[in-house]
Amino acid sequence: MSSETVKQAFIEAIPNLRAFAVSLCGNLERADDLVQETMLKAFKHIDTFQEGSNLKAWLFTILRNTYFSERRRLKREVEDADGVHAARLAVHPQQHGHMDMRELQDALNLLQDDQREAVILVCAAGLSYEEAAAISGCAVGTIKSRVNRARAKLSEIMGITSADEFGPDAATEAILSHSVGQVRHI
Amino acid sequence: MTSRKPPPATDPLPPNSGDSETPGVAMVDQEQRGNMQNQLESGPSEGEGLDARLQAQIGQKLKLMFDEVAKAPVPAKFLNLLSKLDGQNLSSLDGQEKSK
Repeated sequence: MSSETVKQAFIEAIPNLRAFAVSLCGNLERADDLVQETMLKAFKHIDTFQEGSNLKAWLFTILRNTYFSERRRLKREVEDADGVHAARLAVHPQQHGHMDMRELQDALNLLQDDQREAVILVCAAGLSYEEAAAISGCAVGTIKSRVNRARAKLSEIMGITSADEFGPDAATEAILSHSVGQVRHI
Repeated sequence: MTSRKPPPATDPLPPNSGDSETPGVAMVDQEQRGNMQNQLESGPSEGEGLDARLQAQIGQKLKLMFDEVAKAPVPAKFLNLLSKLDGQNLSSLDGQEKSK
């Protein structure tokens, strides 16, 4: 592959790489760092890319490997990294236009890494189970069950707050029914 | 999708049918109330319906979240990086990479 072809292919892949990275890590700045690292690595190891195979999948693989190895390293460094992360997530930002997205991202962050990755690849990026399996380095059946578990978990997490979608009255009712019993007769 | 299709029974009730002057509309309204009543009475299936709706919403939101970024313009820093990659030989890239 000529470097001009590589460059063009990279430019075309960047939007999807960024979207994948943001979905995975939940932070645009960090996502862009990941994309940059991915491009540097990919350019450096372009000779290992099999011409004619799926370049987008290859770049996705580099990005997820970079992300997960960094995550494993951080986990080793700080034993309770997940606890700290979860505590930070518990502080919700003020309501804004992307409240729904924030809520979804928070829910994604509560999933196991492998389930989060699977549901992003298949449901968000729209890849086939086969492509997702190749990128994650596991069997197609494994991806399918991860996606199912992730979906169930997400609806469990997001179901708790879905009362909001049925208007303030329903939301209030939901809150009341969860608080002390004596107010229920109102 | 046809606009004639009545809304799902779980939608909030339409404005009071007393406001309507056409008896036909009032009848549909009553029918909807009936459906809603049925739904409320059938406890377990209501939960499943909620779950299916949630699943569909979550799928849509996941796509939206992804597309929101995927459709954004590529920041200039990436184009700059690529033009650097293009112009430099690979050995000078090693210095840029944080790892190793």
